[in-house]
Amino acid sequence: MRTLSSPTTSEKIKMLKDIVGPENVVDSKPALLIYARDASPMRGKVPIAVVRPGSTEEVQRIVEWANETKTPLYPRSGGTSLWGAVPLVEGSVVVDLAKMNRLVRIEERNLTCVVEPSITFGELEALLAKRGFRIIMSPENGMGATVGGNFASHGTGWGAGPNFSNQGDCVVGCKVVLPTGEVLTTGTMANPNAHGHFYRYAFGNDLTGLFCGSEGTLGIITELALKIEEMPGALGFATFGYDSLEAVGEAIYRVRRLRIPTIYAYISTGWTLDMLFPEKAPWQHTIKFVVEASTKEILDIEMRRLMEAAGKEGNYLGPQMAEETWRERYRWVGLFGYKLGMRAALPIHVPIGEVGPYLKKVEEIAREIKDKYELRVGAGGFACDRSCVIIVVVYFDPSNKRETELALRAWHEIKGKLFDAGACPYRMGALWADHMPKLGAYYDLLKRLKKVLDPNNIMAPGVMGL
Amino acid sequence: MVILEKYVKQIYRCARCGWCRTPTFADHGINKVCPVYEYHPKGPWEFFTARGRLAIAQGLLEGEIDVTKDLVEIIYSCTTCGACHEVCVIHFPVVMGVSKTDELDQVRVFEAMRAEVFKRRPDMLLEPHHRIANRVATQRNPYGEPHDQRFEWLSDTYRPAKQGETVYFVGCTSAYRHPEIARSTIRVLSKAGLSPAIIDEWCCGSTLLRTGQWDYVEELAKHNLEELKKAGARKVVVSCAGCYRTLKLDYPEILGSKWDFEIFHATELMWELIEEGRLKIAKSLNQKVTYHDPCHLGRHAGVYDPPRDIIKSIPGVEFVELTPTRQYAMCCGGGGGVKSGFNELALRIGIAAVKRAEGTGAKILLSACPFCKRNLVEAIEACKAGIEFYDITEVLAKLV
Repeated sequence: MRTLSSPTTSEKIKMLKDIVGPENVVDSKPALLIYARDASPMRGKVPIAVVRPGSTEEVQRIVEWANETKTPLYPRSGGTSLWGAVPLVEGSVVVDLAKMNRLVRIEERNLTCVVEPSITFGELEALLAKRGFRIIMSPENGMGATVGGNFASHGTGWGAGPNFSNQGDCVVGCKVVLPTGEVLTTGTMANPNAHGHFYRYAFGNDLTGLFCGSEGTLGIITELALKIEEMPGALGFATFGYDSLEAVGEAIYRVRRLRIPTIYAYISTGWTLDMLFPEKAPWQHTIKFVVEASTKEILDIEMRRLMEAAGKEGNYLGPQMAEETWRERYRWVGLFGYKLGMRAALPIHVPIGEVGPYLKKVEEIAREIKDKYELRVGAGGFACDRSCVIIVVVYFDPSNKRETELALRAWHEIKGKLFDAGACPYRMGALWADHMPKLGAYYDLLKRLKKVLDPNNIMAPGVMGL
Repeated sequence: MVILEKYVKQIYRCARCGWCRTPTFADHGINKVCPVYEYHPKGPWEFFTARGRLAIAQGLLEGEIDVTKDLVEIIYSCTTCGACHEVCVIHFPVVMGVSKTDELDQVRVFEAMRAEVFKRRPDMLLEPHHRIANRVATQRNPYGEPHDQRFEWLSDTYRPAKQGETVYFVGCTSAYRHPEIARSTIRVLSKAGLSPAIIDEWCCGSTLLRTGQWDYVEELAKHNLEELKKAGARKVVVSCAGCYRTLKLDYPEILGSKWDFEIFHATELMWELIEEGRLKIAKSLNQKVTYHDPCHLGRHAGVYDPPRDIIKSIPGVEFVELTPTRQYAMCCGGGGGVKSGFNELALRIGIAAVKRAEGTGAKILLSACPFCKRNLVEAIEACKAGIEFYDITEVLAKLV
């Protein structure tokens, strides 16, 4: 005999409909199939339903219901992940946060804004620009990616520079529905009498940090408070060409060590440019720099310093390429990411001073993969604070089953080689789950935290190996 | 699975980047793309977006999903306007001059999905679309009006020739629902000294092509081809953007090289006549006006300038563009079988379009398609908007 704790699927769906209204629940197979996929080549388990809350209160009731019925929940906002942000167990419900996409308020005197998780960077930038503000950082696919998704997967992106490496650096607080249904507000707003969100490290431990990069495993983020700034006074552009990857690495390191205020330092490897633009091959490796300063005078000084630091072993190719790429920075994803087919992407963090050796390693891996699987592997990257993100991309034709299988195999093989070489995964999802046990005590603590916060393991089970 | 397999490479080309969902390209005035995602009574669901539909197409190809009522509702809840194609990440490198726009033709894929579904389960077709096919089969028009009354709108004083180099292909909507557009077209062309012939035309088949009922169209196309040949036609003028796309882009695929006519939308021919000095706009129109790009004319066929050129050449007119506009313009909501299949959705999209037009401060909303007119006029009435709608030819007919 069944008990209330083990309702049937149709009973569960009816209960969900009672919580959010029937119009906010879908359970038809074609609709569900979509939610078992993201932008990676990974396929997840088809959920039993997708529920679409419109408020923190509705999220809270869904989480409470999930605990009562022991139903796994997978939160989703933009659905643009490249690392397997898909349901990993049978019988789950996807919490589609698409309706929670508002700019809640601008706290102008705090220089922060409060947003719901599913607002895209593009939407937010446009709304803030009307008030003369901007956010500090946005990811490669800022037009499709959402603020909540990027924070939950500790994303970085355009705008990363000497002071900011990660979107987490730009977040001062958040509101989260915990796996047991309580609502937690972090940062200054933990004090309900506070003058809004203005300081992240309030009241002891940095609980905001607990949720940055948690990928839905520790709760559902329903609001985020982000730093905002005035638009920059002046931007400068410069592109340099290099004959060796070592020289690329040295240039990136020098520019960072000298604290030249770049907001964009984008590396394109020569062999990748040869694949993308064969008509202009052979290409040098290039770095496109965008430098930001508060005034034109200061910018001139910084650009002179950049010329010296980046030009020491490279040749100056003018401002145009960097300016065009910055202007089209969101569209660049279409070129690097998809011109040569679908991509299985592996972004990793490497130390700012070790970019050259890592790129050499990637080049060597690219040759091996080409020989072994006949697949093309490209690589680019960008500097952020003490780290540099290197994005390794396996191109394949997803309409070709055999090639897709090979690409998946190559993807995991490259992942293993890079992890063993000391690289740090950038975003985790299901992709890196098998490597988590290698982290030892770190992984053990994560598991213990997860157990304490989510005793029924309803939040995103399997993600990051949790 | 023959039909969809032809599009397999395109279906798997989707990068799932989400640009077809909620893109904001401020530099292009884009903050919304998919009218169905934005305005569907059920709200924004992933399966209404292009990437959702393409994932469903993958599911159909892989045999993971069957044709069900839910599936049919999803794939027919699309105006096939093609706005998703314009912002697709695969195509945006076009801006940078490095990719082609035919790598993923969302409209063709979505139409093929419908044809595939119809082929597998014709019994699952939406009843209004089934009715359209029956009406076209019996009366040669989707409205079921008597075929012998197709040209009742012609005045007693105008008896067009049955033969001539230039033929006016009136189209079903102008003939039966908006004859004022047909009359205006004749009047404007007459003022320029043209007396286009009119043939015993049948429905061009646009509604059938858009709703997946492809098999019936060849017969219609062949009839229209024979009639045009009989008339000695070389140029064919159409009022309807749907007829334009069908005659210009679909018939050559169906009929091959036998279809060798020059196809003009009325606005193309009229602008040519104005430029040549054969058509004079004698009166002025002291109004602020805006223009809605019909999807079949603009995005599908690339005709953006002639309608605008005509409007701008009218003395006294203050022309203001909608935002977004041209290839990023939002659909009126009437196309792709949505008007007949899901009228509430069509009207919601139409009301949003009307409100955007009102927001420009214009007092007149112009377009160049009787089908857009149907939906937008209904939308104006539904939301009691303070703006009037006219087809460009109607305005021209009063001013020449």
